[in-house]
Amino acid sequence: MTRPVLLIEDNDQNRYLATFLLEKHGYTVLAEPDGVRGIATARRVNPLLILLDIQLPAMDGYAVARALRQVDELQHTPIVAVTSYAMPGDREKALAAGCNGYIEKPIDPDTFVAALAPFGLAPQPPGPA
Amino acid sequence: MTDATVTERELARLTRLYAALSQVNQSIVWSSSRDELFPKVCRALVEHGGFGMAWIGWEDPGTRQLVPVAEFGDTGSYLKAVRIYTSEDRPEGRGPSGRAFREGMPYVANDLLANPLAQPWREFLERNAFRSSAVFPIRELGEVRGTLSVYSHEPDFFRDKEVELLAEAAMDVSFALGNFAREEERRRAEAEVVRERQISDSIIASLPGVLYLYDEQGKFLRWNDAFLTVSGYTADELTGMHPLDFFRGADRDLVASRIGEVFITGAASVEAGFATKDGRIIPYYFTGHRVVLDGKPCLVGVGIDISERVEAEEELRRSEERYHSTLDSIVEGGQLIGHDWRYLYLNDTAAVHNRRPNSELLGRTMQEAWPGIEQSEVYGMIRRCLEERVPVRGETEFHFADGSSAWYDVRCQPVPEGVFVLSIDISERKRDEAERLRLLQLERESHAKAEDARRTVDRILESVTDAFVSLDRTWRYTYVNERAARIFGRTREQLLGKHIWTEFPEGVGQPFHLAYERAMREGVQIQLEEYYPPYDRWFENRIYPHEDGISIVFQDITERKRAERALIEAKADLERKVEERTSELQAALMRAEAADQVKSAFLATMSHELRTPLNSIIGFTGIILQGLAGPLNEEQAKQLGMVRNSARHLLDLINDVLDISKIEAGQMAVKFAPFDLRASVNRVVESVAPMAERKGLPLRVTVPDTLPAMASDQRRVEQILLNLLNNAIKFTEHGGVTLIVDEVREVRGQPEPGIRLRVQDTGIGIKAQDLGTLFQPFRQVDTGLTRQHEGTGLGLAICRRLADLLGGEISAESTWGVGSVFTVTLPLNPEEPPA
Repeated sequence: MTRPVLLIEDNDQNRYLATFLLEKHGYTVLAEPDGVRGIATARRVNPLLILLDIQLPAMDGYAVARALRQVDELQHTPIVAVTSYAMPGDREKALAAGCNGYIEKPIDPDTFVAALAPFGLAPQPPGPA
Repeated sequence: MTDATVTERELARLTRLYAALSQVNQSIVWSSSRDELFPKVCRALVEHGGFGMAWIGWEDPGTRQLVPVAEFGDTGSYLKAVRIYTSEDRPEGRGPSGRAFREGMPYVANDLLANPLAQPWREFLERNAFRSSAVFPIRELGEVRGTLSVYSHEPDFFRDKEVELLAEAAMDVSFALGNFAREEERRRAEAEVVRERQISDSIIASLPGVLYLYDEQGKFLRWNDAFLTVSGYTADELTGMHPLDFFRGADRDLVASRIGEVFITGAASVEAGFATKDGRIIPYYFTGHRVVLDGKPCLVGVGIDISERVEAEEELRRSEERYHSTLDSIVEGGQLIGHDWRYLYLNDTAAVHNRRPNSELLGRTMQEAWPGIEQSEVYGMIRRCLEERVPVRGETEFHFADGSSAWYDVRCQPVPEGVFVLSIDISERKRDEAERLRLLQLERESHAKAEDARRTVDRILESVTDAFVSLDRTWRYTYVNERAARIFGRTREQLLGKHIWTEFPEGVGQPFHLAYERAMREGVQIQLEEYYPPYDRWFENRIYPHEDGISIVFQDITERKRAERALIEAKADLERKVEERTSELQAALMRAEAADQVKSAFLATMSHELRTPLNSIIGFTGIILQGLAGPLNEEQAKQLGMVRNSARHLLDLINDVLDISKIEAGQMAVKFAPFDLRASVNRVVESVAPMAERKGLPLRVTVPDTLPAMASDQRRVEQILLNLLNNAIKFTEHGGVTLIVDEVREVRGQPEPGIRLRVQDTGIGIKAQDLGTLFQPFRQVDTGLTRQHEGTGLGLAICRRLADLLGGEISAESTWGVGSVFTVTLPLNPEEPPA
């Protein structure tokens, strides 16, 4: 069985959107609505890739990224920040916290999956509708 | 009338209306106040919109009358004759204007003559052949304040489209009023700042001392008038000077170290001579504080003139010196003997004449010091002077205990303390009679000298203001001089022989008394300055111990102390004022910084909040369009495509509005670093190439073979170029788009190496009258009936502001219908903007 993509995102619609898109491309997706559950799930499943929202309840994405990097087996798991913070410096903050990539919301379904390829997601054709 | 003519007439009417509205919007752009705007609006509606009359009423809140403040087309001066109100409780308030005002909604009367509300004005309407009218509320900052009324000769003129367009015009006018009001508020606030500044300037100018502000390099930034007056330098000279230029010699090093202390610890003070332009050195007390202005540490300082105090101290010191040196240097022996026969003072020569040190004699009585002296001639002379208070003079031989003797010329002078005895050794004269004549001559000279000296001594003794008392070992007063008696408020007789504690019980335990005890016990000299509460005065006491007790010379120094305290308080007051000003300045700086932080937090939140819903819209339309959620028919795909394009357009708008807000809020940081301009040009051209290809437009790029090294903000340079190329392709249907890159030697009219990017197109071009406002926000020039070209209207405004930030400029040339050239000139190595 392939390793899942872990999505940490608190907005229901956004979670549904990314999950749907990735599943249609043949990936297994586990989605968690907050950082604490996200970190627990990451430790349990050792995901292929972690997609991380920045504005999260209680523990923000920067804190989550730093926490994930403290876990030995997650040291090299790619983390991509997916966020609507688009002010100058936000990208640098995400990278400094341990993220490998940064994608600005709104995401473009035409290019989203391809944009994740450099982070270990092998390109696959979308599945049948 | 055929349907075709109806449609044509309607089109003509709408065209007129658009023309009028365009004029109204022009008026808004070019007006800066209500009074300027309103007449232009009325005129535009009548002249371009074809209305019979237009007027604007403004409510007088006191009378609730709708006063006509602007009109056009009122040929019969009708508006001057009528009264229209906004309140419902009178008939002139129930007309169309009053109603539109109260409801805040347009009121339309398409058949005026039959409209019951218009009956009070029927005669006027008939005379002018007005058949329909519409009234629109005008708001200022959200509140209805007036109305715009338009009249048409055509019945049934105001249909949905017309009402909608006119209502839009009224809203534009309202929006402009809001801007005027805010602009006015901003001007008022600015005037307030200027006024505050004038107040603080006048405070600074009126401070009694010199005040100055300079930075860490010692460059003077501000100073008060007193600084110029005292130093003698002009403001121009001052700006080229260093703070240490005002000090000489050792003061210079001292002040330099204190300045360093201010910048390290925050504050320091120093007394130093202030060197003026005309070469004077004035003693000053300076105090400096560190403040941070525009992120730079500075020193604000105040100096006050202390020459009077220094002069007074110096004078006192000189006088004391004179007093002692006079007595010590004269050739005569000088001895002050009290009423109780005690030695109170002996000069250096006296020790030679007495053949024993003064310390053996001081404080002792003559009888104790010279056993058997009562039999001597000199004793008799002194006693006579003491008792009869007359001067006594004589030549006498004195026999010392060891058998030797010497001749003296002795003069006794009664003084308040007792007797002052002057002695001249005349042994030699007595021994050598042969030299008598010469010695007589010498004696005459000595006599003259002695007279002089005596007069000097007399003057000094008369001028000695110190009080003097002696106490014996049982704490009884053995001597009290006149001055001391006056201070105590008693006669000498009341005190002599009395115990100090019975006379002054309130003084026991006071610092003075404790010092007397110590001097008596330990035999040490003590000098102290203290406050004596029972008299509410300050005294300086010098206590001299001797075998029989102590002598106390004291002086009332209350005035000096008060003057010193006043000086210290003045210093403290000045320091406090400086501190207050400093903290006010810092508070103002903090307020400004807080406002900036609120602004940037607001921008960050806006960005985030607007993007979140767009994520769903763009995401899900994309998914559905990809067919991932099931097949779509052609119509659904087309419509959903429109949704996606609109959403992307909205995203562009948000990005552009945020960009321009960031620039206006000063949040757009530019970072200069070397980059490869050719690679940037290629990257931008590649990204717009597909768009040109879709429209079948050739895209030509001319870049010289060698390009100079450039160190600017790569991202912003690319953003400008992308915007210009996007625009060119968007607005061009035939022909092509050309980008030419070359080097220039002048930027913004200054000699400086730069790079020039020119984007030429063969598009619709820009009318001459629009070129001026081209780079202002929300000005898409092509404002026809439909927006043919999607765009935010912010692209060029952003380009110009970015070009500004990069130290360059942007300009446009165009021929309507032929094409445009946009030219950006950027310096190769722009100066870093202030942080």
